[in-house]
This record gives sequence, structure tokens and C-alpha cells, in this order.
Amino acid sequence: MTIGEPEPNPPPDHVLGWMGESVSYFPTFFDDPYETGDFSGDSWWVDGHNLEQDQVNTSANSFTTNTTSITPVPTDTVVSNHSIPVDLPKKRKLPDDSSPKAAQKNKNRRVNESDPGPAGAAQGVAPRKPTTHKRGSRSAGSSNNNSNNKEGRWAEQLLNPCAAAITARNLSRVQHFLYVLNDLSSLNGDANHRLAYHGLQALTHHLSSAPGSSFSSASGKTFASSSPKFFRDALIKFNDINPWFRIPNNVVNTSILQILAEQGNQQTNLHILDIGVSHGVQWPTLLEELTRRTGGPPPLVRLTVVAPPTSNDQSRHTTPFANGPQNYDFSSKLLSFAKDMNINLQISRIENFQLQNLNSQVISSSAEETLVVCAQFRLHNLNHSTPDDRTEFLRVLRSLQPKGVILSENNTDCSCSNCGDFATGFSRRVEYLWRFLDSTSVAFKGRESEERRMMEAEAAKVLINVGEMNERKEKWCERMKGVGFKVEVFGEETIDGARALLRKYDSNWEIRVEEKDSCVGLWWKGQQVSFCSLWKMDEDRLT
Amino acid sequence: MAMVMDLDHFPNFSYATASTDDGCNWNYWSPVVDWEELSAGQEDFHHLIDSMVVQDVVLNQSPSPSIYQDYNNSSPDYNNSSPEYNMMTDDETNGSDDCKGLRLIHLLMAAAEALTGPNKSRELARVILVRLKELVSPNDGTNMERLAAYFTDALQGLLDGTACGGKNVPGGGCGHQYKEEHHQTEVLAAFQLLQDMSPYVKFGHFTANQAILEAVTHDRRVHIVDYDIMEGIQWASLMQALVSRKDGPPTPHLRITALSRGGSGRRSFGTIQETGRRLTAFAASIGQPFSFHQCRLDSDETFRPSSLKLVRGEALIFNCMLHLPHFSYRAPESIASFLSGSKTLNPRLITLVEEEMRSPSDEGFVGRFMDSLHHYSAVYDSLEAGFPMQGRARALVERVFLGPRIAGSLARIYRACGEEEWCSWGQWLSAVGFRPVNTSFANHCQAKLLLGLYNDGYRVEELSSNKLVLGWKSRRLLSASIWTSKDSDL
Amino acid sequence: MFHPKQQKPSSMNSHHERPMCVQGDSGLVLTTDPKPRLRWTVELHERFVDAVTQLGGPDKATPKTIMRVMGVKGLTLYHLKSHLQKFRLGKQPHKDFNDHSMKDGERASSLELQRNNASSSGILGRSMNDGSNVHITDAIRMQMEVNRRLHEQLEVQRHLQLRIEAQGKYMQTILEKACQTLAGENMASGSYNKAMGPDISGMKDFGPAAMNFPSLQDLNIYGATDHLELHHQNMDRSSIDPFMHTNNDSMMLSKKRPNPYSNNSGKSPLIWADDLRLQELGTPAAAPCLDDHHQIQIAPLSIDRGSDIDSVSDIYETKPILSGDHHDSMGDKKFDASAKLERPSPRRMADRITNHAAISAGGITQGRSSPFG
Repeated sequence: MTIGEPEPNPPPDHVLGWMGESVSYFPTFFDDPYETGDFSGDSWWVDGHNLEQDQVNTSANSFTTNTTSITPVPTDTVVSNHSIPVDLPKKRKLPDDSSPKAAQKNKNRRVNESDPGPAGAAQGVAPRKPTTHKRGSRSAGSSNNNSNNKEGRWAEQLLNPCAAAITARNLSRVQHFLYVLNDLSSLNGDANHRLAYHGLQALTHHLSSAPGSSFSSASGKTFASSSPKFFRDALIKFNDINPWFRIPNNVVNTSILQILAEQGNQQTNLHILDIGVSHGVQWPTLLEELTRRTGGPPPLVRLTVVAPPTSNDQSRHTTPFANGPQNYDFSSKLLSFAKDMNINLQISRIENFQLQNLNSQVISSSAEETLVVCAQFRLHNLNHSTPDDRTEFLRVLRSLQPKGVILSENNTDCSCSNCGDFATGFSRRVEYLWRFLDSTSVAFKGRESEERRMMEAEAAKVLINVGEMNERKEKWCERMKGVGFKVEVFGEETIDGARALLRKYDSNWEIRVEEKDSCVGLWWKGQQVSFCSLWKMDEDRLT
Repeated sequence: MAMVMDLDHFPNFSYATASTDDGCNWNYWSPVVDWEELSAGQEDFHHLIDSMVVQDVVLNQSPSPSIYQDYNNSSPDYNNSSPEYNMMTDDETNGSDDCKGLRLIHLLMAAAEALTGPNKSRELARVILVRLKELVSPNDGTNMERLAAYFTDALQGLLDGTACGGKNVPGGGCGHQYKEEHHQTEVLAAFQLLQDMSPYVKFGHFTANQAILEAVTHDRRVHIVDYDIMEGIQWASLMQALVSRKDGPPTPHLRITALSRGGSGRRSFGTIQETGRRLTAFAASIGQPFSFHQCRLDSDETFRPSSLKLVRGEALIFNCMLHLPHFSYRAPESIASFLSGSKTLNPRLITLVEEEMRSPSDEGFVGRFMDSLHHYSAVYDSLEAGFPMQGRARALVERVFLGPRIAGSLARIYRACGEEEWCSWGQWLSAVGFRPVNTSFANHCQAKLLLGLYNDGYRVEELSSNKLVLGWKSRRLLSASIWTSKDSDL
Repeated sequence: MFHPKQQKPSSMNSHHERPMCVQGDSGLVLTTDPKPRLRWTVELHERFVDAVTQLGGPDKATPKTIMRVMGVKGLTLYHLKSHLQKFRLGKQPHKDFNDHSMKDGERASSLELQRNNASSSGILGRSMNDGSNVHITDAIRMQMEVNRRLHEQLEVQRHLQLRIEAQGKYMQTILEKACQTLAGENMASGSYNKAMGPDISGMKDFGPAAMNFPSLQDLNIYGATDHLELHHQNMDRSSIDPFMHTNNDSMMLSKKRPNPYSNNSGKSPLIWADDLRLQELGTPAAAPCLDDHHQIQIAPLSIDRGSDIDSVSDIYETKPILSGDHHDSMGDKKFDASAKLERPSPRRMADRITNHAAISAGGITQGRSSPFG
């Protein structure tokens, strides 16, 4: 990773926005990962309750306004049977809210935090720790980037042979490995011990369950079994210490800005089709950036969230990261945040809808708006062969005529049962999980926490997920081209922004931009984790 | 790595509840899961797990695993490779001993595999050994636990590269824990205990002696060339037998030539001269005509037949005691030179005592490792059966003799892995043309009577007409075989 | 011919192709007839006679008591009842035994011996079993062979005793020498504690006894013989503890100090019991100072292998302890009880590893049958 980026031009990122001038500045997070109250780039999540307490000097009026603004207003725009229209204010109550006012509000709300926005840097009222530059250590550490030491990954040395023994139906070998794994697995240990633990659970599950039987999550608390508040906080915290999702999110956001900028008309509405796993946490940043845009935010920002299908209980329990807690709904918070930003935001949520059945009617898109599709870590759950739901869905995407598609996916081989035997698939899943656990362990500095446990348990679902139909980046690109998309080079700002953002994370992370396909690859310890790619309609191929 | 953790910052996390109830009580797996029930279908695996679960319920008599996680020191450090396990090391009851033993075996085997084999992984070996060290100690616990401790140590030596097949230590190893010299009194005490606890030493000596006695019934002069005389205890009983024999000529003159090594090989019982003096005194005390000689091996421990002083008319015996528990390791080349050298001198008898190991030439390190584990566990069991209540006595014997021996033999197996076509010395003798000499009824009988003095589990087995094997339960441990050179008149 | 190889115990119905089945350890010979008809072999009969004699003769013995004493698996009351009847009537059940009966005198003496040396019958029994395939017409020759073997075995036993004794004596000389060396070192160094540092640490495993080392050492090495004799009288039992040899003072040939485990209270009797058996039998070196007046005990060689007896308590119940002079009845009782209570059941690690080794690190073998069955 290159360090020589010009610093004074921070990438538009909602955390960095707060940070103001210094991208290298980070609060003592690395020392106090659990001190959630002190640092948060997620002020928009602050509960009304907390808000009340913090808002010591806020007038009753503004408070009321605030409250009113988050009250869901029923909408008449019923887009489909499946949609749950939320917060679609027909009238903006404070359409002319000036920026200073908004800033003032923000300031009041975030009494303990620094101010956002370009102007806010100097106004920080909250105690702020002195800027520390962690560059030295980071550059020193970056020499390790390519030291992907297979030797140190001992858990795989047990899990993979065990899976192979299962495939070979060698019972005594299987039992041998189960014994050893049982003795070495631990949820409290390092990444290897954890991997052994989750792997053992998965192997046991594989051995004991009939196909299709429901999986009782032995690996502990997952997204679905967490409380909404905990889930939200944990996810935000995780994003702050592990770029696993943060970088893809960031690339999406800046790409959207890029696409908007390319549109001639400043006043077209923005419509984002969110097929992702960010559970809303990536959008506040975008909203903030939109306010900073020359000409201000688009007149209407529509966010259409395609929730993962819940009908299939199996996939709900096994698809990692896609399903949040049952009662989790970020809409109201996001809407109120948008309101504060003076952005006209409209959120619809499409539930229980098979992806390949989407169409313009379902998402009620129109040719006048700027439709951007954001597909993150979800499409690999689509069947990629007989039937080829995946290509089918990409065609659907193409038919929506989006101005841009940002596709982020795991850059790894498929582990489904059609693409290899159990042992092969299992070892790929294990490898995926290893990277997650390893990077998460580093992110949490090896420390234990509920948040970490939840994230890891959620990721560990991958081991028992038969629907993990990953593909390599090249294959994805092929498919996209096949249905009439052409790859678009990410803007310089996007790349630079992502790189700058990555600096706050462990030096084993790096971003590599491939010249030939223009994809942004996220790497951990020299191994590909995921990639982001930007697509536009290939006008020559109107399919 | 020092913990940098301010407890005040996260008072709400309770580590004690971190990893307890996962609904899967793996620690109490039954070792007796009925795997036979499983045939070929996928369902079999389900049964496999199901039966484990069932067994869990049945066998779960032990206290539930408790988590010894002190809040203050429980959180795993960043680089901490030895996390806090919620194991029940301390409060295990007897009921879980067997289960733990089985776990230990699996762990040891996995560690051995990790050191070699197709999936070689030093890191995995290291982690397993760390775990094993948490589970066992050489000084307490069950047999299997103590044994596992020594094997763990030996493996650690292999991993660290500090293991050596040294020649100066009994057993020829120097696992790092045993580098410190055992004091002479300790060695002596252990030696005596070993003799009292087990028939190993006496079995070898007496069987050889009986064969010698029978071979020299009518001789007036007997000359025994002893490859490794140690403290000479073998010959006391032979002398006694010679002076007390009723029929035949008067007590023959006994001459013993002890081979001595170039270096200062012996540490335990003083020098060969001392042994000679002691034997001479003993012979005198019972009226046995006796003389004692030394014959130096070459610097590389090669035996030169020409260096022996032979007297016409004396019955020549070659005595080769190998691998008795308290003996030191001797290089195969040296033994071979002794045995093949003996052939040129046409001895009346060759008595050979050696360890019985399965011939695992095709099984590689892990196979031989497991064989060693099996072998020594039989030895441990036999010692325990002999002295069930005296853990400390056994611990001494284990520490002084068996531990170093385990380390040494594993080191040799490890180094020899894949190279050495291994066979017993008996096979070797047979291959180079020595003839077997039948063991007598009396000899067999003596062995049985001797074992009768010890514990029930000992067995004597006539593996071939010239070979008696001392075993513990089903495991063969030590064999005594009798040979002669082809041209001998016997 | 004498075939020492043991045959595996087989069930009554297993070996149909063979004329009879041999149950190795029990000496019981059964026909293949599904009805458990019993062949009274020479050896089995001998055992029977032995049992009857022990029980005070054919008139006092009952089938039940005989069955208990004989302890032969598979033998039923029915078998014994009829055999006892015949025995009382003076009838020999088989003409095979005619020759045998002529040598009653010799047999009687061997029985005498067997009472004292329980194991011999077991060993003999097994050797007899091995001959049991011999055709019935060879029985006479076999009987003679048996007698010859019995005699030889007695010889072997006598010799073995002497050899063990000799080895023990020799061991004693080694110990003696070691003591002298130690003493010499002590004298030379002038500072006792310093010189003995390593020794004490080496001996610390052996309990509190090591603490007593200085005084006892003085006592024993330089002390008066009279004193030792006194100890000899009083503390003889403790002298049997093999731990003595591991203590420094035992190196000095003093067997005259209390059991180092006596601090461990209740456990010591059992320790004695266990030690006693081997110490006395295996290492006459325990004989103090090689003094001639101390009679080395002839060992009870073993328990009867043919029986089901396999626990310590059984051993001590069924077999008189020879070293009666070392044990008053109290002592015996005491360790009987403790033996029952405290002797841990034998572990089976070795066996388990055997099984386990079948797991075979070697690799993945399909369809291999489970070693854990």
C-alpha cells in the first residue's frame, strides 16, 4: 500500500469527516476498543434517549422538531406487496434548513465529539485527544504484508485432513481428528483456536445432521440472535477496526458520488438499490458527502433495500452477514439523520423477494432518476449453475438500466457441493473464515469481547452454508460483461480515498488495483479477500 | 507478552460465561463409541455423533467442566497461543481418566504426525505440545498422563532440535529436561527399585545365565565376553549357580572379559574396574574361581576379535545385554561389530537380550512412535501394577531411566525415519548364520516362576524355540534368545 | 512333549473341528459336546485332590467348597458332586489315574509343596493343559513326564531362589560401596550440608525421611551394632519397605528406620503389604547386612494362575503369608482391609494403545474397521 497520498485532502468518509484534517488521527480506539461511548463515528445512531441527555442546551422546540422528524410518515407509494414503505415524507419540514443550522444541531448532539464537515474541524468542543500519527509503526508493519505463512495456520492442518477423512469415509481418522480438534479448539484462544472451534462445530454438524435439518447455532450469538442495539453498535465498531466491509462500503459511496457527478443534471434524483450486508451503516457517510457536493444533495435520495429472503430458514441461519436481528430497522434513524442533513431521503425495504424476480416496477425506478445498484456480498448466494440464477439476476440488473453497478464480492473459489467434494468445499470455507478470524483477531488486538464473538460466530456460518457459491473475480467480470455491462475505471478519488481510509487499519491489509480489470482488490496478508468493481451499461450491447 | 488491560474500561464483560454452554459436551466423549455399528451410509456419521451424545449423557459423571478463568488474567493475549481452556485438569475424577488417556494418545499421535508426514506443520506440533503440557506432568497423574509427559517432552526435543541420541545417558537421549545429571544415589535407588518392581532385569539375566549354565555343564573353564557389563549384577547369580551345581565336574573357573568403551561412557555405577573388583570379591566370598579382564573397544566402539585374549579349552560365551531399562544406548554399528566379531571366534553360545519392538519399517515415524508409546505404556502399567501405591518410587524410575530412554528412542526413530531398515538383533543373528539353541524346560520354567513373583500381568512366551519373550499383558517387551555359531559343537 | 505355548481360552462351543477344547488358564478340559461334559484330566484331578486335602479331606469337603478352592471356570457343582462321590468311594473316575494313584506318595509331597507355593500348580497346570491334546493312550507316559517335570520344576524353583538371593547379595555390595563413597565425600568435605546438597535434593522425592538423614547416617554408619540390632528387632517390618533402599540410610545398609511413609498415616500398611510381596521375594538384599542368621524367606511364588483370583485382597485371603514372623494378625488384617479398599483397579492403557494404534497414523484407509469397538 502506498503511503504517499496527499493527506490534507481527506476522503469523504463520515468518520474521517469528523476527524477533520487528519486521516491519521484516530482516537485511542486501539488501546480501548471497548470504550464505545468515547469514540463513535456513528452519531446518527445515538438513541433519542441519549440524545435527550446530551442535549442540555437545546431548545425544546428544536427537540420537538427533531422528534417529529423521525416519526414515520405513511406513504402512498406502495411499490409492491412486499415493500414496507417507511419514512417517506412527502413534505420536508425544514426544506430550507441552512447548513450552519444543521451544523449547529449536530454540534449540540455530539457534545462529546468533534464536528463534522469541512467547517467543523476547528469547532470541536469535545475533548479530543492529540493527533497521533501511527505511520511509523504502520510502515514498519507493512513489510509483513506478503508473509502469508501457511505454517502458522495449524487449525487448517487438522480441519482439512478431517474433512478429507470424512470424504474418504475413514471413520477412525475422523474420530482421531475430532478428538484432537476438541482438545485444541477454544473460543477464547487465538484465531487458530477459534477456527478449530468453529470448524469442529461445523464438522460435527455435518456429521450429525441430515441434509436440510436446521442448524442450531452452536457457535454462539450471531447477528440474528443479538439485540438490535447491540448488533448495530457492534457492527459499527467492527467497521472501525476491520476494513472487511468498510472498504467496500467506502468504495460504493465514493463511486456513487462519482456517478452522480457524471450526470449532467444536478437535479436528478438518486436511487440506490442496496443489495448488501451493510445493514444501513454505510449510508450516513454518503448522506454527509452528498451535502458537501457542489450544488447540494439531489432533490430526492431513494434508498431501496433488498432484504435477504427470510422464507428459507436454512439460509437465514447459514448465510453470513446478510440477516440482522429480527427487529432491526435502521430506517427511522437514517431518516432523522437525513433530515438533520437536510436531505430528502426515502427508504423502501423489499422483503422476501427473490432477487432474480426484481424489476423496475418492484423497485419503482424511473428513467429520470440516477439508479445505482450496490451489490455487496450477496450475489454469491445465487445459484451459479443449473439453474443459473446468477446470470439471470445480472440480466435483471441490466434491464433496470442503472447508471452504475458496484459489485463487491469475495474473491475466492466456490465451495458448493457441485464444484467439489465436501473436503474441497470445506477447506475453501475454512480458508475464508481463517482470514476473517485472523484479521478480526488483529483488529481486536486479540482481546475478547461480545462484539468480536458475534462477528466471528456470524462469519462462522459460512462453514455450514451450502450456498456459498463464490467465484473468482475474473468469473464475475465475465458474467457482467456477458449480460451487457462494461467495466468502468474507479475514479482517482475513490481509490485514494479507500487507500487513505485503509491506513487506519492494520498494516497487513492492502488495496491492490488491477490495471487490466480496474477492480479494487482488498488483500489480507498477501491473500485476496474481496474485490470491488464498477460497471456501466455497455451501450453497444443493448440487451 | 504483558497484558495491557485496564479493567475499569470494560467492567461489563464477564469472561466466565464466555464459552461454556455450547450444547456440545465434547470433553466427555466416550472412548467406547460403537463405531462398528457404522457401515457405509451417510447416516452412519449421524449415528456416530448421536452415539457420542448419548454416551455423553451416560458417562457424564464427572463434574462439569469448569472454567478456571480468573477475570484478571483470563483474557487471551494477542499473541497468546495458550488460551485459557475450560478443561477439568484438576478436578478430574477417575471416571474421566480413561477418557483423558485417550485424548492424550490422540494428541500425542497428532503431534507426531505434525512433526513428520504429509501435513507436516511445526506450528501445529508446537500448539499440540503446549496443550499436552497443560494436561500432564511427569510427576503425577495416571500412568498415561505421566507417560504422555515424557513423550511430550521428547517430542518437544525433536521440535526444538535439542534432542540427541547421546551415548552417555541411559537410553541414549537427552530430552532437555533430563540434561542435568542424575546423581549416583538417585540412579542407584532407581536401579534397585526397578529390580524390585519388575522382572525385566532379572528375566534377561537369569534366562541368559540358565542357558550358559546348560551349555557349560561339563566344562572346566568358562570364558564370558560381556558386551555391556554395567554393574555386573548378572554374574552374581551365575557364580552362585556354578558353585552350587551338584553333578558334573567341580566348579569351573569363570573368566569374564568386559568390553569397555573408549570414552567415559559409564556414569552410573562407576568404572568397569570397580565392577571387576566387586565381582572378584563376590566370587571369592562364595568360592568361585574367577578372573576378570577388560577389553577396550575401538574409539568408534567397534569390537576387534583380535583384542580378546583367549585360552584354549575354555568354553567361550558371548553375552549381549541390550536395552534393559537401565542400560545405556549402544550404537547399532558397535553391536553389529560385537556380534559379527564373535562369529569368527566360534563361541559356544551367544546370549542376546533385547527390546521387543514391532518391526514398523513401513509405517514411518508415526507408526514407530505409536509403537513406542504402546511399548512404554505397557512398561508403565507393569510398574504400576507392581507398586500401585508408590507413585514416587515409580516416578523416580521413570525419571531416571524411562524418561531419558523415551527421549533417546524417539530421537533415533525421528532421525532414522525412512532410512533405516530396522530389524531385531535376533533376526540379524539368524541372517548372518547363527544357529538357534533351544531353550530348555528349566529355563522356561524359571522364567515363569520368576514372573510369578511379580504381578499377574507378566507373561512369558516362547516365541521360537530359542527365544523367550517377557510381556506385559498382550504386549511383548523384552526377549532373551540363545544362539550358537554354526560350527560349534553344541 | 512339552508345549509351553499357552492356548487362548476358548468357549465351550467354539472349536468344533477339534476333539476337545482346552481352556488354557483354568486347566479345564471340555469336550465339544454341547452338554458340558467334563473330562477329568490328571491335572484337574490333582487340583481337585489338592482342594479336598486343603479342606480337610473328602469327608469334610463339599462340592461347593471345593469349587471355591479350585476356582476353575466352567466347573459346575454337578461336576464336582459326582466326582467327589467317586472320590469318596475310592473309585478312580478314569483308568488313566491308575498309574497316578500308584505314585500317590510322590504326589502327596508335591501337594505339600503346592500348598506352600501356590503358583507352581498354576504353572504346572498350564504346562499340563498344553499336553492335553495328547491321545489318551499316552496318558501314562504323560503322567511320568509330569512327575519328572514337577521334580525339575522344584529344582528350578530352588535354584531361582538361590539366584535371586545371590543377586540380592551382590546388589548389597553395590549399595555398600555407594554408602562408603557418600560417607567419604561427607568426611572429605567437612561441611555436611554442602556436600550432601545434591543428594538431599535427589532424595527429596522420598519424603520426610531425607530430613532425618544426618542423624540416621551417623547412627547407621558409625553407630553401634547393638543399636542396629535393636532396631532390627523392633522395626523389622518397616525394613521391608523397598523405599528403604532409596533412602540414604538404607544405602548404609541400615534397614533400621521407620517407614518413610509412616507419616502418611493409614496408607502405610498397604505399602508394606505391596512392598512385602516383592521386596521379600524379589530382593533378599533386604536381608540386613547379609548376616547369616537372617533367614531368607522362601517365597510364595505366586497365586494360582488358574483361578479367577486377581485382586490383592483375594491373594491375601486365600494364601497364607509366609513371613508370618513379620506380621502379627493385626497387621495382616489391617492390610487386608486396606488392600481391598485402596488398591486401584489396574489401568489398561497399554491395551488401549494397542487398539488405538490401529487408527494408524498412516493415512486414510477406507473401510478400515474401527479399533474402538
